[in-house]
Amino acid sequence: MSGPAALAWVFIRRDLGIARSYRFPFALQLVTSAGILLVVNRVSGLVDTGRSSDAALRAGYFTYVLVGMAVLQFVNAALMAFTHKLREEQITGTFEALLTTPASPAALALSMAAYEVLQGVIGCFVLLGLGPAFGANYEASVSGLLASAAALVGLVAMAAAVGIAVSAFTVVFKRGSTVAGLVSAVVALVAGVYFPIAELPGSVRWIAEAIPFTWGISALRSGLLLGDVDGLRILGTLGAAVLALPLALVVFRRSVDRARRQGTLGQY
Amino acid sequence: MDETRVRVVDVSKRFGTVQALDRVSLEVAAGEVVVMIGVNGAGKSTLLRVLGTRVLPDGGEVQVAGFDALRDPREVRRRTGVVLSDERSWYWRLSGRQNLEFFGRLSELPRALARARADELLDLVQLSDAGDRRFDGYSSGMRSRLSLARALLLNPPVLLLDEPSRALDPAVSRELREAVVDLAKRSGSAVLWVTHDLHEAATLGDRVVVLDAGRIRRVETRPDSAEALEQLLDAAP
Repeated sequence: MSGPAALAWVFIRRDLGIARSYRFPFALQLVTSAGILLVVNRVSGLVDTGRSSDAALRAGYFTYVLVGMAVLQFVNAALMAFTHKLREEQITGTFEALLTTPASPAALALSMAAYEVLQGVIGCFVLLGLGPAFGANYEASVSGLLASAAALVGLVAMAAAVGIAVSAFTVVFKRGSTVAGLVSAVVALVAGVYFPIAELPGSVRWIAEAIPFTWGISALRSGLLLGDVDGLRILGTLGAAVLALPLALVVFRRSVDRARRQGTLGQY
Repeated sequence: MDETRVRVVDVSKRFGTVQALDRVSLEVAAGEVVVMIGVNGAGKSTLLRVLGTRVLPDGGEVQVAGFDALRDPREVRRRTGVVLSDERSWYWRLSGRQNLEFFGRLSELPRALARARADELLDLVQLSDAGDRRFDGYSSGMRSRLSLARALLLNPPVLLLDEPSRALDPAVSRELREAVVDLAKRSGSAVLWVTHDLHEAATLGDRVVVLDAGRIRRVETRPDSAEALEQLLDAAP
């Protein structure tokens, strides 16, 4: 293992060390996930899905929303993690120390949030894994699972790209959590996390259809709940991620250069 | 001993209306300890940041260990050890050893080597016994020594120290000075040391550079005393 992967692993080990210095760091996450599932399970019984044309709803609203919420776990983690970790490093004074090392700013940006993104992905699997115990109903086939995995990779990469772009905003303007929160809200409300985009009003539906997160979530549901492979949407999500990630890294590198010119790298 | 490790030519930097550096030129040879003094805002820390590639100058040339700081910032960082004035630049819930290993890994040391180097440096700065204690349990003196250890991770040919003894008592401060001078003479590292302590400057520096309003006003070779330096500072316009 070398390069960015090794660097990410260095940060994961560091953050794991910090997490271990607190009591019960992981048990709380399990309890929280179970609590969320219980509440959603109860509330989902109140939702009438009979008139919707979204095939994924055949698995029931609880299963449908469970997948959306599981995705939201790591999308939010990735969106928030980059700007949150960057801001934390700025405030604690460690960001400038990181930049005294030979590691490139772009590699640092990617790696810094690796632990929180990984935690989000694990949280996603924990929710999906606990789901059947609360009545979730998956109809996955091998091809469907593979398609879901591909959609998941695309979604994580897309979320990371947006997260890095937001952290570039944080480097320059020092506060990026508002932007991250806005993007998170848009994904949650428009990208089909809680309800089918077919139910959205016309103009909002157009926006929803144009967001790669919508494609990824839809492809993930198709694979996991119906056993179908939605190749077009999977390719769309992966393609968008392939374009967005390098672009986000360029934006981040430029933001660091700008901060170096202005002498504001260590400021918060 | 005459090999130039740091070469700064006509470097300027302006932050808004403040001229932080104004056509500064300076050379530091291998094994030489150069101390920079000056009032707050004189440009000392900015010059260190420029040398450490964390601030881009508006103009001029900066060479560190033979590399151009503008064109090859990563090569420069591979050859530069930095002691930041901010003791917050650590992960407080990790031990001193974990912190050193982490920065060693970021400095491209393989894991086993980073571990071995951390042990070696903890021993050098006399923190072996406290290596596994969490950083937030360290005294100011221990934190400063750990900062020096971090700066030495890659055996750099250039050391940039920004007020490393600011929070130290006189005895620990003297120990730190002796350790750095010894290192510079033994390994041939060029040292740039920023301080407000004139006694420290007088006892430490092969040369003392007086900065004022972003310009080098005087360069004093082996100054006689802190009092002589104080007069120089007072004389600066």
